[in-house]
Amino acid sequence: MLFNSFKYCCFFAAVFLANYGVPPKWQKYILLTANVYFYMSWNPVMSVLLFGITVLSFLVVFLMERWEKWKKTLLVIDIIFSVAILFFFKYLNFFNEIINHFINRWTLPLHELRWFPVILPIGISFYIFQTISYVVDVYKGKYKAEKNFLYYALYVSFFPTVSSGPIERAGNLLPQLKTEKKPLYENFSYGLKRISVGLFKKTVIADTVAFYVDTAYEDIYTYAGIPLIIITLLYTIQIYCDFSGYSDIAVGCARMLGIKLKENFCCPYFSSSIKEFWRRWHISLSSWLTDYVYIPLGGNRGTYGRYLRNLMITFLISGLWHGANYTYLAWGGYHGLLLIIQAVYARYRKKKPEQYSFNRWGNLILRIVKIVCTFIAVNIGWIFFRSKSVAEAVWIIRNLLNFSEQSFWGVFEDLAVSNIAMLITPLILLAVIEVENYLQGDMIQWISKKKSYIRWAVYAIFVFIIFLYIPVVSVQKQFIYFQF
Amino acid sequence: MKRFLAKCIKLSVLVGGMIWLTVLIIPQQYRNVYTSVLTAKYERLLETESPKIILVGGSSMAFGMNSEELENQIGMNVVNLGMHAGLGNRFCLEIAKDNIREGDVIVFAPEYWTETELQSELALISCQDDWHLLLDIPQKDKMNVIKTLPLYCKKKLFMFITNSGNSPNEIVNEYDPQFFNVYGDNIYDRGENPYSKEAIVKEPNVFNPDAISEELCEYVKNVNSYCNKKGAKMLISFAPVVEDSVVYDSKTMDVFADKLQDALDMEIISEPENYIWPFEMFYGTNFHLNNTGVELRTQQLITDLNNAGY
Repeated sequence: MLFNSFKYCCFFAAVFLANYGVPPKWQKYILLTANVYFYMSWNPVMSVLLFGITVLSFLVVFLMERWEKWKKTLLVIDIIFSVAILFFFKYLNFFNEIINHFINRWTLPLHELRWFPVILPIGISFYIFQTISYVVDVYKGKYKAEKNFLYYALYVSFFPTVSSGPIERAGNLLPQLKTEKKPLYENFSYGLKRISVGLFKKTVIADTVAFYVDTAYEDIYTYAGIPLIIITLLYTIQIYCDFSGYSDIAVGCARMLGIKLKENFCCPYFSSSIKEFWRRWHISLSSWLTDYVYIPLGGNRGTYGRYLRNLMITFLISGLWHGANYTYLAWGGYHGLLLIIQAVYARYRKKKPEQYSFNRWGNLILRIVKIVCTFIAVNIGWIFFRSKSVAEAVWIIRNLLNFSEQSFWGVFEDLAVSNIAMLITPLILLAVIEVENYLQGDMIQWISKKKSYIRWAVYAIFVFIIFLYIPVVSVQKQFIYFQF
Repeated sequence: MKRFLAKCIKLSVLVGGMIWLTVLIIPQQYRNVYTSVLTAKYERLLETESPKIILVGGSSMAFGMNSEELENQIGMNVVNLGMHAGLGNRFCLEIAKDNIREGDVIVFAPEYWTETELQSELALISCQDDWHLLLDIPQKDKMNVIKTLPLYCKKKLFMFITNSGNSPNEIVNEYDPQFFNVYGDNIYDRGENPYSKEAIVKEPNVFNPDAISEELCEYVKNVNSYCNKKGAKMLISFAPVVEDSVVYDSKTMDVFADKLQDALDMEIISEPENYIWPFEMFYGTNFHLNNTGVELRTQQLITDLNNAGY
């Protein structure tokens, strides 16, 4: 059940009405039923896995509080078991591929490992990370173990977040799930606006752009120069709109049910450094990796070399988390490398601060230059993310500036003026939204303060644009992050 | 909750108004598409006095008839309602049925006796000047047409904004709406077939006894009963087809004719064999005729109608 489907629309409307139609003490049962139905609509068998993980982590924490001396052992068991499950479903075939590669390369007298036909359960990377964070946080004494399994199950399987995040922390979500929700107009209004923004990003932009990107990538070796740059830029827009659109819908749906989720994106393409980019992009994953990988590895403590090593390991894990492929690993490694370069540069700059003092305008220009440079660096990273192989990504990067062989416009050939307008108009609107979000903090709140006729005109035009881009075919395009 | 629902309704009304504005107020943008001639054909259907012959079929009817000749020979007014096969077999037949009057004759000659899928966007484009014609769309296709409305609105709006709709076709060919006469016939000068014989594709559904749709036959029977009640008549003929594209022998075609006769239980005025012609009679597709083919088809239909007592 995709967020951008009619089925989900009906499902959510039913949950919303039921949630506020029943006495408050029944709300948790409505939500649990909704969670179960939502997850089972993907694959009923895989919901057993979700249930198993939930029970395991709940039990581990339950036992931790009783058997103080076994606390660490229980933590290790939970982490190993969770990671093993993730490994089995997500990385086993990739691992086998690597082993087979070495067997063939060195002609080792070993049998090749066989490929397992495993189905990747929806949201496994998200809910496993969520349960791990809960167990670790309880272990560290950040908060007490949840006594009521029902609430804990609600936390792990909360339908707006279970398939693609944000990766919520128990500290934020669990207390909210326990409170009785009152029907507040502010929540409904804000939630619906966020859902609209999400649908705009996904349906109007990501899916429109996806046509050009997917078509071009089918035949990518025929492109070079400007068309290749345009495709790369379009994919950068697509992945942002696809994922942040999903997060907006998740945040909006949760808000309509009276729950405030953590923000997952904050104008990432306005970052002036890669470090800042990771504070603005997929915030819930970045903070998870910081708290549960980077800091336990030692963070920036210890020697300078260890600090750089920790950065690289964290980003390699981040890359691998996104998918079992060398391309994701390369993407993670690329970001790790950029962060290392930035860290080395920052260290150098610290030593000679006088070289970099500008006046107000100078600082502004410097910031714009930094934003552009970061954007270009991020764009290059997305090439690894989208390519079928690292070799393909390297080929694309090498041909981005190859203007001499640029004669093929492929998917952009003979585009009608109206088609160009259909593509560009939403992009301009997106730019306006992003700039407003960046400058005003939250465009929704900003518009809410405008005069009634302006506000309503904006709302109506916005929803009308979403209507225009509703796909004809009933099969909606899946969200990119669903595969993770 | 009430306040929220009230605002949702307010928003829906505003958005609904914008959709209405796009569909009905913004000028049409598809005047250069050949299916836009449906309006003219429909107007002729309304204006032509009875008794009249209403020709219904796919594009083979539009690109394969000299209605004026037919009118002169039979002595009845003629309306050619033949349209793109993408509009499905039922749509134009339903339009004809809704406007049938006493003494009228519907000649139904589809390319295929299968339930062809209605292309929703094409239906919207074809009905751009007469939205009520959408009511004649078969029930099963109505939901698809509604689903296509956003796409139609999007294209129309952006063509309007960029002033790129209704622009003259870059390549002027037989599909240009200017080449349809008052009867609804395509009058583009179609000489030698521009396509090579090698481009012919086989048509496994033409004259295939197994491809006869029982639902379609049942529907045609109902239209026939309706016509009879109104004092009109419905006759069945065939669309001409390139002989190289036919995959069945004469024996199978006889089975086809018998099966069709049994399924329809009404008057079939033509023989399938009389509508299988050499490549030289066609123009562009397996079903569209050139000038010579048009005359031959017209004469064949006249003969068939004469044999049926007209």
